[in-house]
Amino acid sequence: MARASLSPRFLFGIAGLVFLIIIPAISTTGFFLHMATVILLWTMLCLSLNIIFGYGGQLSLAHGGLFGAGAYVYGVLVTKLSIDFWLAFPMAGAATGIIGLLIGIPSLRLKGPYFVIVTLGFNIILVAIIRNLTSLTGGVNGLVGIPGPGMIPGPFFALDFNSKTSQYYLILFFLLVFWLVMYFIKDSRIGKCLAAIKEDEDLCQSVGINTMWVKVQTFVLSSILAGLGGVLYASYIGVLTPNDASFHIGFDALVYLTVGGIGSVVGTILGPVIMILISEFLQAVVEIRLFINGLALVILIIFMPKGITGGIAYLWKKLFQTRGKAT
Amino acid sequence: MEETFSNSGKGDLMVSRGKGMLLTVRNLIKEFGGLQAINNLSFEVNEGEILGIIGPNGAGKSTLFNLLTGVLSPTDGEIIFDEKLVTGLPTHVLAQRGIARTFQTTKIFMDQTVLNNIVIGVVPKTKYSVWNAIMSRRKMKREEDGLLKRCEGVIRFIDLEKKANNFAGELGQEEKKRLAIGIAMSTEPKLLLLDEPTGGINIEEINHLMGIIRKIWSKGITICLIEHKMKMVMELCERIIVLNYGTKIAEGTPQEVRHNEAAIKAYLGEEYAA
Repeated sequence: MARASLSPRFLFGIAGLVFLIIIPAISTTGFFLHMATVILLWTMLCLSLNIIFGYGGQLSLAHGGLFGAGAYVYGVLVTKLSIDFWLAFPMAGAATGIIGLLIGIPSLRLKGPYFVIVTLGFNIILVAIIRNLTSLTGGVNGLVGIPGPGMIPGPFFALDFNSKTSQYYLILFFLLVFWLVMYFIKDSRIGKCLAAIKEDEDLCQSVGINTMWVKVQTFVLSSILAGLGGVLYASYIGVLTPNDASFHIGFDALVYLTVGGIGSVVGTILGPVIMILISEFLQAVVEIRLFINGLALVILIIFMPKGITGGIAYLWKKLFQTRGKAT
Repeated sequence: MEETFSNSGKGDLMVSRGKGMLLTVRNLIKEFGGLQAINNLSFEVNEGEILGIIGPNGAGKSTLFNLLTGVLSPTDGEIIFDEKLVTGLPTHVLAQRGIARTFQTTKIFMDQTVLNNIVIGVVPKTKYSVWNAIMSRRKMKREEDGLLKRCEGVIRFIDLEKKANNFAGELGQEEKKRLAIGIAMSTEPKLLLLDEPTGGINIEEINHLMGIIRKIWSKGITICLIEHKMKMVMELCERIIVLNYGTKIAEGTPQEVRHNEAAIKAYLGEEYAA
């Protein structure tokens, strides 16, 4: 593909990044910063779903469970075994990867709606395990007092993560890393394989692609990212209940991703931004909040079937058609 | 015809061009519930020949291709490819061993460019794991040029170089068929299975496609061809087998099959046979 050094897309990306970085400076209230942090955490879940669903076409409804599993593994490691964040973080990631492998191997053999339903089933199993492992997870009472990352000592300066601002930057840092991983996947041969599998798995096999292997690897990577998102959520919020692993989380992430634009990098953050902001603005009208929220979703999907990013791309093409063709 | 004929044990005709057998099918059986789709089928494909497989609808031709490519696994019987037993191996392994195919329903990746369609065929011979995508990005990018060269060669071969950057969904029917053959060719196969390559296109375009099939054959690639257009099969193939109800009812050169009573009966009905 052509180098897009100064394309509008690149400039918008830089502008968006700058905005994300200065958010703590311009947020006058703690609530605004909290909202921004929550949006970043949702974005992590959306992007992990985007890798397996947006790129590979495998609609997993287990991602709420995987998010919660990562959060709970981290929570148990730090509260029961007093392991430090920086050690528990990769451990929880690896654990979610293994859970993803165990879920992926049987369920990825299935296609279409069967895969969706089996992953949903696995999510329910994960919640049941969390509910019933009372000695470790606290069951329905939840897990409380989960600490965040400790201080990183350094020769000249120490990084500590006590303030909300520092936690925001920590989460933003990992989000940028995850985005990079997602971009690397899309921009590689396995990304091409995933796009091909999304279209026609039989044809992929007939040219010699081990589609099962491609899907399992991708599912595991996606699980790890969802789990790490869960870890950051747990360390930020400090309290976990089995609801944090519910399949509703996965559904919400799916809705956000659909609104943002399935298979798009920017869509993974635009979706959560729009849906969470709509939901917050509607707090004023509590009685009809869910109704309006649902209506907004229906209208968005009808008029922008490819999500916000798809809609913007369409408008851009309409307005600047000649320039669009030149790039 | 320069081929010499010799009678094998079962009385089957064999064409020998001084090369060995590429594919041997022995007593192949495939049952779907009570239905026998393939019934005790045995035949050979010699290296470098074009074998035509004909038969009425439902004779088991496409089922045979699905068995040969591992999409279905046989109820019983053996498939020997390139001197190795390959019965029951998964599709992608058979593809890597050198069996490529096209589908009756012209499968291509509609939402991708022609070039990307071909790239997918080349990828399986390279490393394509998640690990490589993240950890050895630079190295992968460096290999890209070589891959693209190979793809461009394939695109030139199927005469689509002017449309390399078009989306496959925008192509005409015959161009789609050529692209499907191109995807199969990009895997550098030893055996190419073509399932009705000229279904639903006009006579002029058929000639173009036949030219490409001849070009593939002249590269030394063995071809099995399912086709309903008799004229085309008779012109292209050196040898034809006729299937009906999953069994082989006739085999031989086009001239021999043309006058074979069983074959005529299967196609035209009892009254034409005499």
